[in-house]
Amino acid sequence: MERYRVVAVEPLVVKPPHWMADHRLARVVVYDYAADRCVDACVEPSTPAWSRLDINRSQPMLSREEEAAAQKAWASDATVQAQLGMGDEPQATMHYWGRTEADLAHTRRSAAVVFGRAGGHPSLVVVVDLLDAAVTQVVPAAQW
Amino acid sequence: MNHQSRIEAANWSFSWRLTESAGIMVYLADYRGRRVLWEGSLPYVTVDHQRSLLAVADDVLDAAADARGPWWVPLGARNLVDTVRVQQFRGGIELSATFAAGPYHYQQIWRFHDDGRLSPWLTIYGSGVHDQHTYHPHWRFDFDLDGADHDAVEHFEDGRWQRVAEEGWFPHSGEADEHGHVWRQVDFGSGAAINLRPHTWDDAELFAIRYHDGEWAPFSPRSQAGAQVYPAAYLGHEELDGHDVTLWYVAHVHFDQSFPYTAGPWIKVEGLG
Repeated sequence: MERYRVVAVEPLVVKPPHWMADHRLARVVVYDYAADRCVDACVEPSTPAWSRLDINRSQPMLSREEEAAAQKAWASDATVQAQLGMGDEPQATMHYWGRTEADLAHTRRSAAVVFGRAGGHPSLVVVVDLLDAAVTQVVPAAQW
Repeated sequence: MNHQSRIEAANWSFSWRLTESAGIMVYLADYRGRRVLWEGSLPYVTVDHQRSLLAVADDVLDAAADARGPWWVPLGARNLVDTVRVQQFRGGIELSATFAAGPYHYQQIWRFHDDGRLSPWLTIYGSGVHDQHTYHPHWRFDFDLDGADHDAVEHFEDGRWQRVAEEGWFPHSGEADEHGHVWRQVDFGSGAAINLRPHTWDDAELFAIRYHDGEWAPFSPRSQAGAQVYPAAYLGHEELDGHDVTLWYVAHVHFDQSFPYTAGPWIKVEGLG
């Protein structure tokens, strides 16, 4: 597990009268696994320094690498293997969180992988704890 | 593949680009040469599930199901089907893009009419994981009507337009003016206005939030564990009158077999003719 995941890099245009208005900026969002926090920064590519840095506890969307990691985590899980039907494969990886502390995903960065046949109806939902790359819930899609 | 450009058509002039997670973002939009929109996007569509099967004998399963929160996927390049389309229609021009992630399918539309109407819509289709689920599309609009300041927000209730004094959450109660408008942002200087009318079945609400640098469209609905999600996490008690304001239009659309369903506001620009 790498400590940092780059979630997104996008151009940013800041409104006047802010001093960064008219500057060519990039907004970089990184998730820091070790500190369980989000780093949201503005970078001016023509200078080596951050123009703005915000560190907070928000949970940004999943990076593409995290989506891929979630889809690998289920492969070695016997419970998942036992419940997959013929032809079931990952259909989508969702950014998921639990509503209350009764769900581990309330506080830990998690993904939900939806399984089903290609073009078919979902059959299974597998929740993956991304910090430990471990399956934490396996639920038939109809009972989700 | 071109994922951004500047367009001038149908009395509108605007730039657009495909974002990582907020669909097609439109920015620096002018109508008849006067600024209307600094930036507008669809930061996310969360999906909530309700119980489809009752597990009467299994308390543990009940507790786990009750604890389940929402989920979402970014609407961006990773889920884009084909490309962003730019099409002219009689009396306007339209941007559209289709996004697909497993059982979730969306078509985002930005329609610009030459009479000043603007339609940022989302058509929702796909089955979901089961029938008992609700979509919550969140649009974020940073309207700068004739400039960023000197604006006010009004809400139609108790039979008349009422000024919104401070930041807040303003659900559609069913009341609307004679044109169906429920909320509006007015520029003091010019008297121009942006009117918003919800789709009938959107169960819509509007968040009006004072603009602050740094409170840009978030890359997630989730501010932090146990806290309010965005945009509610941005709400305080700051005054709105005369300041730069950001509006979030949120629809709540329960899935049913009559889908696809198109959500989103009708927006009408007045006083810039």
